[in-house]
Amino acid sequence: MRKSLLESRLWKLFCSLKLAIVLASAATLLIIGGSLLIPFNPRIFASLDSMPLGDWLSSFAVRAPALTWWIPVAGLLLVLLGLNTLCCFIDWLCHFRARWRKCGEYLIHLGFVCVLAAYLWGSLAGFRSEKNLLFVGQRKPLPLQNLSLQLEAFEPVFNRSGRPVDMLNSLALYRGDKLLKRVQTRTNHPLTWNGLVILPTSYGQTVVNRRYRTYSILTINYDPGANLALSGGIAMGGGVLLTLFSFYRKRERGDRPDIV
Amino acid sequence: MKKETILLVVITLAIGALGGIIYTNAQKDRSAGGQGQTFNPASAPPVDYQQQIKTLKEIVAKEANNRQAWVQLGNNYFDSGDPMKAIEAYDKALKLDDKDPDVLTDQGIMYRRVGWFDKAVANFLKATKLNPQHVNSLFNLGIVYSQEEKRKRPRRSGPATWNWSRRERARTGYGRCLTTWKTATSKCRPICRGQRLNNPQPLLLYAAFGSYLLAVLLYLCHVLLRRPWVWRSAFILVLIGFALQTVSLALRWVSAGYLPVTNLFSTQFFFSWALAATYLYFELRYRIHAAGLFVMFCSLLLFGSILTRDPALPPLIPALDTPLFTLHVASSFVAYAFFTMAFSMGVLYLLQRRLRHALLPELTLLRKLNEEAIFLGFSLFTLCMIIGSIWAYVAWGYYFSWNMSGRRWSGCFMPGCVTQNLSVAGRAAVMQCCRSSASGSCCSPTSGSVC
Repeated sequence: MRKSLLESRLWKLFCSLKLAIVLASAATLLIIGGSLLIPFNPRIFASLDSMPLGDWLSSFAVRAPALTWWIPVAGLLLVLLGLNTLCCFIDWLCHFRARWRKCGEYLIHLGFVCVLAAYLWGSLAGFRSEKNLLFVGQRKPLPLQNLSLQLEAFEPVFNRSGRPVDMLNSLALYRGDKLLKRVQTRTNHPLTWNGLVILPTSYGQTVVNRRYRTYSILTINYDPGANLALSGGIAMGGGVLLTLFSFYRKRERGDRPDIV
Repeated sequence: MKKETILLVVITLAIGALGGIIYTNAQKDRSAGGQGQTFNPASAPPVDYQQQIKTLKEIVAKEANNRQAWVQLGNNYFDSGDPMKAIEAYDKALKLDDKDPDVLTDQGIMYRRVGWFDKAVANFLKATKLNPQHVNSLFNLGIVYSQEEKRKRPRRSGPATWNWSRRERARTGYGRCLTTWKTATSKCRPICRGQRLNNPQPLLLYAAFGSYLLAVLLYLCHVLLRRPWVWRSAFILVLIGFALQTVSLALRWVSAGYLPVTNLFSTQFFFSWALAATYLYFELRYRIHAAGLFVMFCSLLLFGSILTRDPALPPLIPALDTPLFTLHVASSFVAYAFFTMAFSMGVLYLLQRRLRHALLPELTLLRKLNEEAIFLGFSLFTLCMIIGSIWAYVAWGYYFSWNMSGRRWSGCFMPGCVTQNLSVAGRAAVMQCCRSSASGSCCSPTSGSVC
């Protein structure tokens, strides 16, 4: 009789827990070891957060392959781990009837795969931009689907000793002349739209024709995978909560053997 | 064709389609940008400062008394980041007319940049004398004073004095900065770096600490005496201490208006509370008694270390003013507390395997406790990381960061997955999983669970 694909040795290898442990351990050890290089090589690694990983690999990592090889290798191990997790999830789906009680655990699997896919997507197709200077009333085009951003109003917030502690920016996002979103941004309240996130980072004043003009300095990031990452995070969180409740239920039923 | 094969084909096609959509969108996003990923943040066309400087130098070489040219030259050196030359150019302009507060302020800013703070202050004061409402000079004067105060302030070993007298404030640079801001903003508010706690607070803190200390001593006595009344008394003392600590935490929370975990005192206090809560959970459920001594000892040490610190609550900065912060920090510290318990149970398991002491719980129970503690800790830490990622996205614009915290906790997340399966309890889980895999089930360490 021809063996079912799902019962083949190759498929079992793809779904293997041992493979997952090996991949996770290898990726973790590589990241831990490689990350020790980061604080001692700021010239190479300082810009890791200021651009998507894909851009960083093509612009900075190629200059020092001896110091940065561990990042793409760790990435590859994580992609393999993601595939392993996905295969495990598919295997569970195929045996759903017998294993429906493990919904929580496999929701976590799905969440992890989504977060990983989202990060890869964002690393390849996103952009990050800091120190975008906008004067009040100025409109700035964004390199994204005919979008533009206008700073309509700005107000700094000071504490009792007079130190600025927050910035209120009234920002409006347009596609052409059509207003898409208008938000008053401040710390922890950015303007978000379809993967785009705009948040205030600083401000200043400059003298133009003997008049003070206030400008806001904004960070504008775009991550197309942000919504997928959020969905993955919600799936993982929901899976954790489900698993938490089912853990004690399974113990009562004796699903966990007493092995010493 | 078997149904599993059909399902597999459908899923593969779906994944391929999703991958294609992602790739296509990625290409579209790149081409829509025109310049690909490059995004020039500058809003104005680039200025050729060097050309302008060259032109102005030619002008002032011919017209040494052209004050406007000297000012413009100084401005160009200012904008192109050459403070020393800017100072010289402004000097020439001020020699022709020293009653210009704008030029005095710009030169003062350059003095500040090169570290000549006294000259910077002199310029700003002169500008404010010429024009008391000159906001830019007042603003920069405040910055210099606050930087000066930070450099000169000595480290205090004891509790900080919050209520500075007016005279003391005036003497220090910080006080001068405040006086300047008072002039600039016309607001007169005293410094308030925190709030004095209400009277019950110190009493609650010391009473809770005393209860924990007595409880730990009684548990140590229980190891020697092994009397029921000893561990019962210890348990009651832990309950009393925990109740007092909970009341204190609640009072601090209500007083501050946010979960007080923003400074060292508050975080250690909260962690100590979480450790005690963890111990109580396992004690009430499994009657571990002195087996939880390590956790209580850690809680006691943390509590003891904060008694000499200032318990005042600082005002909450906007960066932390979000419920995501509360959830993130609370879940992480409770997770740490469970990991501490798991460590304690793991060590006791290894000891019990050798000693087989009657006082310690059985190996089976220790394994169960270890597994449960790891599972709860890992679950809470997963939630902590998810909430933290969401917070990072709204605060920084990206949900994963390569800074030390991000890498450290991501690095811990992975070994946490692996460790949970390779720990004492996990080995059992792996063996069970191997048995289960024969029947077609599997699990991944990312789930943090066992089959």
